[in-house]
Amino acid sequence: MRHLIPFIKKELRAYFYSPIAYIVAGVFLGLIGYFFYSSVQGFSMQAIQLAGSGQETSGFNPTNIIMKGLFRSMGTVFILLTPLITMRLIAEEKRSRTMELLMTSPLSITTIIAGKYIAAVIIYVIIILSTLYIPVVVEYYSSVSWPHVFAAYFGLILTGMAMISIGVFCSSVTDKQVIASVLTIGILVLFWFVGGVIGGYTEHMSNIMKDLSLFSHFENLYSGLFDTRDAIYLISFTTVALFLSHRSLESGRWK
Amino acid sequence: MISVQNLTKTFGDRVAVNNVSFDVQKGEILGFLGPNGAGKTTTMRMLTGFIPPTEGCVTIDNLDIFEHPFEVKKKIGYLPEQPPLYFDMTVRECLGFVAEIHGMRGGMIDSSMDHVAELCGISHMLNRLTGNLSKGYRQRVGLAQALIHDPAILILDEPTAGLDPRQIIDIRNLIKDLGRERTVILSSHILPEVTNTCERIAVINNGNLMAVDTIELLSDKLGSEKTIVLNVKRPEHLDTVRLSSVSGVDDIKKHNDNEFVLTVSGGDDVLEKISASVVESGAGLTGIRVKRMTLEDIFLKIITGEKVQ
Ligand SMILES: Nc1ncnc2c1ncn2[C@@H]1O[C@H](COP(=O)(O)OP(=O)(O)OP(=O)(O)O)[C@@H](O)[C@H]1O
Ligand SMILES: [Mg+2]
Repeated sequence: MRHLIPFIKKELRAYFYSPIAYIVAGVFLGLIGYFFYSSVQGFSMQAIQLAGSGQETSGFNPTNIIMKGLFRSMGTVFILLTPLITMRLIAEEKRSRTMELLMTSPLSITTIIAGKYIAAVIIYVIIILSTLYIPVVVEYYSSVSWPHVFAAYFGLILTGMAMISIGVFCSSVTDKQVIASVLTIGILVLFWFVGGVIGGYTEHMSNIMKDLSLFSHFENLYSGLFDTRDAIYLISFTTVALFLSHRSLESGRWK
Repeated sequence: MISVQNLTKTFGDRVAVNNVSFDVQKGEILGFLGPNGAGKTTTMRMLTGFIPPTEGCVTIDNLDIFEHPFEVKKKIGYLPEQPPLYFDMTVRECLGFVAEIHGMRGGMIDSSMDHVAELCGISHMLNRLTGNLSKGYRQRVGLAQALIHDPAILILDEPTAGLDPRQIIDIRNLIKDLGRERTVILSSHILPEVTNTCERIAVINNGNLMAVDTIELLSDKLGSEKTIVLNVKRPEHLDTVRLSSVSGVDDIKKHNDNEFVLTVSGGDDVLEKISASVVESGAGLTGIRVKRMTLEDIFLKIITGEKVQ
């Protein structure tokens, strides 16, 4: 395990040297910035309409109207960006045969997976936390509910960690980055919409499917409801995916 | 120091390495010789713990490589067939990374890096991206990576592949130097490569270990055979049946109209008997030449023929 830090360093260096991390960050921040801008406009229009109309306004605050939608968009946009961060991780080591170097040095498979996973999560967290300017701006002009914002960021980070674990797994089963990224998107879309758009035949089945979906757990958190069950689900999901990555690397040697 | 017992590797139903056993002593340089596809790389991958054997085991200093992977892997420096380089990193970063994952830190890395860069002739390349290097330089960086943690055992898969002739000589000398205090196993499909650097050679073909011995012993065992080339003026008079009954003559082949090639074993008296027999038959002996087997012939004979005990 003491080899973990140099390993994470090498992975981070690879991110900073390649354009992909910058492209992902740029696209993500650009899109979210645009969504922020348009939801602020929508918010002002609604505020003008509501003013003096005598309607109920208790749920009408910037956190609910602007922030909640933005948090959801961040999660959804990241489904498409996760594979760009993770596809390279293991597939590229296999393709360029550097896996032979790693596997014949005193590194365990656990260290390899953990190092790659942690590096990707660090990149993800940096990108996600760059959007913190949004609640700060809202707070400056109006006010935000900080507990809600913290629950939402906590949810974003846990959900992102789960998405990245799937990306790592998909990268471990192939030596082709394209295959890894298509697989990642497929699995993530399935786990995002299952129980929602992808429903079951019966209500009972739909509910079970909903419990498995990443989105329903994320939904509670970004709506400001902190529930340990959601956190536990997301963490277990991540653990299983990383465990499967370990198995896949280990069994790849026995072929 | 290294002990290989009954090593077997199958891929599906293809047997890549078949029941291979040998030992390597401390400080020895063993050459692994075999044609393309013989199973050299597969054997080396099992020696370094990259792939597990289907059967058999590898022990290094009495430790099984799959039971004690970390202790064993620390002792090995491995240069795979294709040098494992991160193309987006500089030579310095690659060497630094390999040193770090072997547990080296700080000043130790710097001094070791300077040393191996000097040995491998890449001191002036440290700040170049490995992806931009030529094949020969990539090979040298791969070798430097294998050496950086000062391993007691070096396993080199075709270390001079892709190098220019002068560099081949340099690297051979480097390997000989390294072999003074270290145990080295290197593979090659070229004979001079191995005879130049190694004391012992292991010949492998189709996954089977055909011979393991010192070069002198191998040529003694197999080189006692000679071929004799006879030139005659009137081949129609030559009685090949009688000639082949001369004791010591194993085989006669007609090479072209006036030339016959005989395979013989035994001393000079065979030669005398042969020439006497040819002269008697009145075939008009115009020339007789003795050819000893070269190492190249011996190598070819081993990989086409039977196992050598
Ligand atoms: N991963 C694999 N899957 C299937 N077959 C393999 C695999 N690796 C090696 N082989 C087969 O095993 C045999 C031995 O291959 P190996 O690479 O060990 O040969 P080699 O002696 O190193 O040859 P060369 O001189 O060309 O490098 C070959 O027939 C090869 O096709
Ligand atoms: Mg090979």
